[in-house]
Amino acid sequence: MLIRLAIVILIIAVVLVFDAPNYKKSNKRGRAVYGISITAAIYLGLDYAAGKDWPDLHNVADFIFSAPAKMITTYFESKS
Amino acid sequence: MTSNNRSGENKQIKNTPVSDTPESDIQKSISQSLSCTREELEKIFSHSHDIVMQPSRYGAAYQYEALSVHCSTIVEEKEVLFLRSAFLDIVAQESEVFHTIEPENIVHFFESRGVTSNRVSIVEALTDAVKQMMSGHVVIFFDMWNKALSFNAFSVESRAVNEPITEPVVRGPHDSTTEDLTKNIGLLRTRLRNHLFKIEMFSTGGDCQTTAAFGYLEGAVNPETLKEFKKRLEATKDVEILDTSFIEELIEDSTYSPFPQYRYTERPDTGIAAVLDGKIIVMVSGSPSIMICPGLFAEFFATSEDYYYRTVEATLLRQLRIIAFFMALTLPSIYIAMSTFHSELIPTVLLMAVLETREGIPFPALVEALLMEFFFELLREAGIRLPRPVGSAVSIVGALVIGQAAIQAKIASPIMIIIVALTGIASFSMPQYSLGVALRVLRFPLMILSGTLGGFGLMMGLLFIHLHLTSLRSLGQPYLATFAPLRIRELRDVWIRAPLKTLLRSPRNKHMHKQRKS
Amino acid sequence: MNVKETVSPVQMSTLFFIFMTGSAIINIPGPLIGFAKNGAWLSLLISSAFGFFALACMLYLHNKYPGSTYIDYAKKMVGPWLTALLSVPLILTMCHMASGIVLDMGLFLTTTMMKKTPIFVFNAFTFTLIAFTVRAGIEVMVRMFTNLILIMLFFVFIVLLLSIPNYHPDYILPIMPDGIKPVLHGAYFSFGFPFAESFLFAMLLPFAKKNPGKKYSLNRWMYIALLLNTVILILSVICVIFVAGPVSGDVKYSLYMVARLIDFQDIIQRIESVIGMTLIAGSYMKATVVLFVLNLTLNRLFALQNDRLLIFPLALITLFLSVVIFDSEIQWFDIVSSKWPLWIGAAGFVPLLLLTLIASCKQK
Repeated sequence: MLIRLAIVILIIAVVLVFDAPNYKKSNKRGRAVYGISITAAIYLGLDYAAGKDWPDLHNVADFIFSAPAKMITTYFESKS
Repeated sequence: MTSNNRSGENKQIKNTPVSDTPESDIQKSISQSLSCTREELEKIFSHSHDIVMQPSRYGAAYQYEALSVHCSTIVEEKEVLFLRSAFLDIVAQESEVFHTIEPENIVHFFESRGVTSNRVSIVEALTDAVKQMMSGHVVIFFDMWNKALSFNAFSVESRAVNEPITEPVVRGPHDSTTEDLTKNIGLLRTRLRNHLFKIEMFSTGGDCQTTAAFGYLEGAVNPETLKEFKKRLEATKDVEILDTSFIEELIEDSTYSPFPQYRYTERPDTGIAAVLDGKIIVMVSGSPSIMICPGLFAEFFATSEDYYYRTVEATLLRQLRIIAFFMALTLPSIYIAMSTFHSELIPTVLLMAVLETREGIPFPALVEALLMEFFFELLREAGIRLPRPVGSAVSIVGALVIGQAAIQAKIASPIMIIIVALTGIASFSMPQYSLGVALRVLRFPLMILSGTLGGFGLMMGLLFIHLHLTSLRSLGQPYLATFAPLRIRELRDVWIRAPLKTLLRSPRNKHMHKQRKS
Repeated sequence: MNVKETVSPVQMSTLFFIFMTGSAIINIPGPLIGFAKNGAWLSLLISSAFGFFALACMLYLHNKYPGSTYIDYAKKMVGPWLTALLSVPLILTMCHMASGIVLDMGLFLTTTMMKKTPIFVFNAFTFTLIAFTVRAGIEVMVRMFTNLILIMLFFVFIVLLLSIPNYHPDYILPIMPDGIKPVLHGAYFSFGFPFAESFLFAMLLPFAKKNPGKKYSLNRWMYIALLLNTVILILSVICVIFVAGPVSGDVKYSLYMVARLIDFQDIIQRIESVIGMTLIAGSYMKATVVLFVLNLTLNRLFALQNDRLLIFPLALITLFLSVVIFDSEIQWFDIVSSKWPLWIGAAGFVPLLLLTLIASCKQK
């Protein structure tokens, strides 16, 4: 867990350093979007580091699509 | 070179439109009084003991003065008697007898551009006079005239035209360029006797004030490329240039790329072939290298000999070089990846042999490879600087003793020595030395990648290199030109060497064809 | 990376072909044969029809609004707020797509070649490469990928050719042993991957140079690319069936299995690593295009000036996503085969249809 956390922090730090000149040059909107993206990245990174299964994209997908997908696949696989 | 100091000064001076600070002191015109001029010159040339100032007197009662100044180390001594020949010219034209020459005659004759027996030019500013003196001219000042005469007498020992040292051939011309710019241009013009072959001179800046020239074939060269090239050449205006490679570094697209973006040659025939192909060649006085821009990846595998051999041999040799390129880049990495991670890919019999030889080696394959490669690079670097008597001894020591001893001490396995040697030989078979250097540089990261991640690491490394090559540009043109925007027609000179009938007749350059048609 | 950087129509269609074929050729045949048995090639025909339809919609919209990307003309047609709403599922889909592609590749490597390395390492390296490629711009991407796909296809054909001794042509019959349902199931699966993913190109079409002389050249080349893609996929599916019959549905990477079986004169053996390299290259190319389109979508949506700003954060997001969505092999397979077609149909295909309808209504 600690190794993972260290790697996550390292990678995010490298990206931030790399993008610093770009960030300074951009306007408010760009900085806002950048901030949101980095936040999402940090959340996912911590999710990876923690090893536990925090709520994620596949949970969203499961929630929305499970029922219809199940219907379709059972339709296809029935009568076979 | 105190270039660190220099750059600070230059940065300040670059912004001001006035010329360099030292010169503004002598940005004067030549004074009418010869004694003033003499004082100025003595101040300028103080402590330079090879500047010779020869005063002379003329006129019926030797009442008029003249001063002839030159730098004795760069001037041919027997040419120094220009004043006498000038007077003889004047006698023929203006006055009847030698001793009635007046300063007015001199002024009148030379300002009306009378016929002289030596090439002469008139100098108006003291700065120009000094510049000309330092370029091997004899400058003669006259009392009561604010201009001076300058005769060209430059003569310094230079190398004779010889066999090219770095690019010898079996069949083909054996002359090479020398350090004399005029001679080099002459060698080129003899081969391309076309008025469309333009040669433009420019002088570079800094303290060196070197003359340089670039040439191109109008109608074959791409006008966009030429415009881009001329724009970049502005960067050389205030920097000292000691060799053509200085210009390369100043105008190249990517300074940090290991791959060279321009080619070099010492052979005039290669230079002319490049010019016919629509390239621009750059030469600097004091250096025999001709720089060919732009240099595209596909051309780094071609030598002039390819075109003097017949098509089958030339094609095979070219394929050999392409294979050697890949070998030099990836052979150690492939060996490391296969022996460490993917041993199932090696055929069983070979695998047994490899395992036997690797028995007892304390290091993993990656460390062994890095160690051997490092030794090889050390040997190579040392071999360049060894004087000739010692050189052969070191090659014996290096090759036999160290290699054999390393195997017997179980530091390296025989297979590793073979691979390192093969890689070294393959990288030497590159026609352009700078490409071989690029391969040497890139081999180490690839080895590390394949030592840590196996085949995947090697693949990632190669993809990175491919990405770098595709995004690299040489003078604005894409570096992988015939491969990346894939032009099948032009592959006839890259993969194979098509017979000269196909090669020479079809247009290699759309521009040439278009111009010729109109 | 603004629309000023152009590629020629041929290059655009090549990119399209690479995108569709790149990872499909390795990943599709296995599960498809698992669903549709011997009728897998029929499934491909059916789903390619949807692919052509999607392409037609895209080209129609492109010809109506030349020079604008999908987001641009959506903004014009339905206003910025509705576009933002429509694009949220789009963005999430693309994130998932990019993560999924690289995850597939990472799984392949850990299961077949290097079993002890954690997946994160592979994905991290891959995403680094992808991020730098996206930064280089579309023109460099197309040129580079053209080289790679030629090498890839060369190797695939060699493998298919060398497997000829292993072919049993009678395995293709009977064509539909269990009726039409399995074929439809296969069509459902292959619609999700790769044919519906072609809607991504609605964002990329404005990069193609307008050739004033030939008005419809881009259309023609794009259709040719899709046709070629379908033909090659069908060819590889048929060859896989020839080699192993309906059983090949149980093997995840069928071309890999086919390559394993090649034993030509005792010299050419074990060349499946070549297929492994092909998979890596194909996945890399496809994921790069997806990340490029994702970056472009966000740029257009928020009208950002610096178009290279978001590349690294997006790469980070997709990298971490790729190691987080993977709970188990079965769950991943379930997502890809049953949920993904519905997901991408709803998020990508349906909005495209809607916009086409609105555009055609507006014209009248």
